[in-house]
Amino acid sequence: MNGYGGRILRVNLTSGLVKTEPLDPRFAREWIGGRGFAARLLYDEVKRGANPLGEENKVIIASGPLSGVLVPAGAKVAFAAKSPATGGYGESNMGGHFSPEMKYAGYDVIIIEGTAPQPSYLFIEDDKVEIRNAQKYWGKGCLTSEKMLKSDLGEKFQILTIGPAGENLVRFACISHDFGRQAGRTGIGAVFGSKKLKAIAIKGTEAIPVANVKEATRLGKEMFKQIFDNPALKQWQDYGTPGVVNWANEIEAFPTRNFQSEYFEHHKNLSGQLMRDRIVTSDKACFGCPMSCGKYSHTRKTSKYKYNVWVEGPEYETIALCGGNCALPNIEDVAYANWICDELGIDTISSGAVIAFAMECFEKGIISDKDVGRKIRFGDVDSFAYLAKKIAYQKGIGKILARGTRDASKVLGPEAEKLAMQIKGLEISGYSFRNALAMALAYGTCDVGAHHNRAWAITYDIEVGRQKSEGKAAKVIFLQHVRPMFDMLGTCRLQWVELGFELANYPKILEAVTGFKYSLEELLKFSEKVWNLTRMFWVREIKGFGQTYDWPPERFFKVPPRKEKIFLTREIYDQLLREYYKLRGWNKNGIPTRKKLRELNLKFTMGDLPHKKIKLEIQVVGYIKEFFPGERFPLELENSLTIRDILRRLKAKEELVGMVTVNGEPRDKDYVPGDGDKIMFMAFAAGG
Amino acid sequence: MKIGINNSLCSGCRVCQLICALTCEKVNNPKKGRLEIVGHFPVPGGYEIKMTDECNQCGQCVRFCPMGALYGEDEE
Repeated sequence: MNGYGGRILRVNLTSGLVKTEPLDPRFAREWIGGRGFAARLLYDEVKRGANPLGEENKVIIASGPLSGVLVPAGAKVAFAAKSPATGGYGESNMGGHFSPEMKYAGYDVIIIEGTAPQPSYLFIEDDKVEIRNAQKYWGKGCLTSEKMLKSDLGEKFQILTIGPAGENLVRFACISHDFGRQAGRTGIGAVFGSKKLKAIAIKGTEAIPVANVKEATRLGKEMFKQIFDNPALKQWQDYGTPGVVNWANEIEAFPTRNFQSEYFEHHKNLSGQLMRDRIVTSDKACFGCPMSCGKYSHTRKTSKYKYNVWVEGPEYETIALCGGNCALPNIEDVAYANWICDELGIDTISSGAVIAFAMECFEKGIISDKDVGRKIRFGDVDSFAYLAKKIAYQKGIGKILARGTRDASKVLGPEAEKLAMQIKGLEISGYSFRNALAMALAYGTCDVGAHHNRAWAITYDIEVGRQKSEGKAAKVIFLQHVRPMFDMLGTCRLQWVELGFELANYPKILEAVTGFKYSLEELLKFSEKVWNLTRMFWVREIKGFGQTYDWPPERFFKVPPRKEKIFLTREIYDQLLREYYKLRGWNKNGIPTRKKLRELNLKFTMGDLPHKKIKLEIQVVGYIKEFFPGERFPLELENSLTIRDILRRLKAKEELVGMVTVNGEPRDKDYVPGDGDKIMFMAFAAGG
Repeated sequence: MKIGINNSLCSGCRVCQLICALTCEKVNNPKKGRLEIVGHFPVPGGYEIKMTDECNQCGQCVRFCPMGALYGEDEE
């Protein structure tokens, strides 16, 4: 199949069975690839109510049609799972060389199911696929285990690993690749860990079939030439994303001390320019990328710095969250913090946010040195390293912090809850938005929780006026369709964002590669469809999901130090949200309407809408049947009720029911059944 | 054109391998490229470019190397 690897690889770690399925061209035409494939397969394959860290969750790894072909940075792969961090739609996008390698091995998608009986890794060399014992790598850091696997299997394998944090189910554990690229967000590393999957090693040797090689090569070369001629290229090659550190401070959007302020007094010590001079040793690019935004760094042990580490990065987000947000005052400290997170296998964004949260809790007396085991403070890299290790190994205070800010703050009490800088359970990434209304909305409505990359709307705020609301909801929606379109194609968006690359390039080359003809409008419509599907995933998984989940923490409505006033108020945000929902065709509670779902051909999700009546079939087994209306009976009631609610409706005593199965699968009483489900209530096995 | 190599500039993007395979073999498969990129990570970092004997020095890789790690020695 042109442009595709042509196969789906399904690996069941419980049974040890591995099978390949052909990729259906109609499926490919409709869901394109990457994020599209991942979102649809996750929706279909992970059962409602699945425990994110249970056997029933799955990881969908999906490449895209432009990965591995001659386009700038055709390198992106999507990882999707039900998120252990948020309980909703989890996805993380990663560059490097894994996505192309999947296609050279002939796979567009890898589906990981079940739980292995022992630490395992997946070995893939073209058609040869094996689940292998990973005991010798278990417990090792991400970078260490990648190096070991490369030594054991060969340099040419592309490798994914998790670190101790993933093994120990830290809810913001990441997946690491290529010594410094990560699928960082939403805790998919913990899903690997729960499945006892330490690593995946893949090598492919086959060509990707291309519909019109001559035309695709011509268009690809043209795209590269356009980039070579761009005057901004050199800046990107030299500084990468850290090039924006100074700017983020100038516009006062730099997360500082757990978002207490938006300007970091030491930011000049963290800038891309200074970083290049002080610690960068070489440039490191994703597959096919002329921009090489990856920087490889080495911090030397000196009298001032006690560490000697090699690390890819730090990238802007790491500098913002581990630097400004934890107030680390120089780039060497940030590089060290970056290396610790990378080796332990925790997302640098959430880690910076969680550690800053702990530092502020300490400062405010919510936790003490007795709870923590030592004094901790902003600006101290040793405090950072200490907490990172506690988190990764779930020791002491780390046991609480490993849940992420939302759930950790619930344990620590209402004062701590005010300090949890998250939306939907995902920590806010590197752009503060008290004076950037479009960016506020972008974070609030992002489909995985507070992440910047679906709509980096802050530049639009600056362009049209930060205080203005008009047009911002529409702009955020437009961006939320464009950027995820790149994630579907399996290619990077930075060429468009940073070098002003024409979007019109993409449908043309996509046609030359796949033979599928799309207009740009059609591609964006598919992107809208995926956006609505992921929204429905939240609606399906989280009881009572709605607009309250789209609000930022209270702190963002308060004036920070150094500022006289801010533009973000609750009233304005409420207006923005309403406009956003209206333009999206969602109801006032932020739930897609039936009309919108029909329009987007997402009718299959309608059964998951709230408040629709559902029909259940109830069966009662054992002596408890006398407490129910019958032994077997149909029941019609509104949607979104838990098993517990249903028992109450039936006026049956909850404690009489020892076991519940839904469609044959054992479920707990918080499970929410759906239309057509067969529920069986059983007494505890009668002892006699 | 005689192709020169400056390993310290290589970013490991592998465009050279892909463009070589497309030019010389007419297939979208960088593994068929007539040069190899070897990474040296995590320590000390950096890449090494290795030309194979089959390289005909056509210079397409030089034209598309974004970092100047491959260059035409005649042009220097």
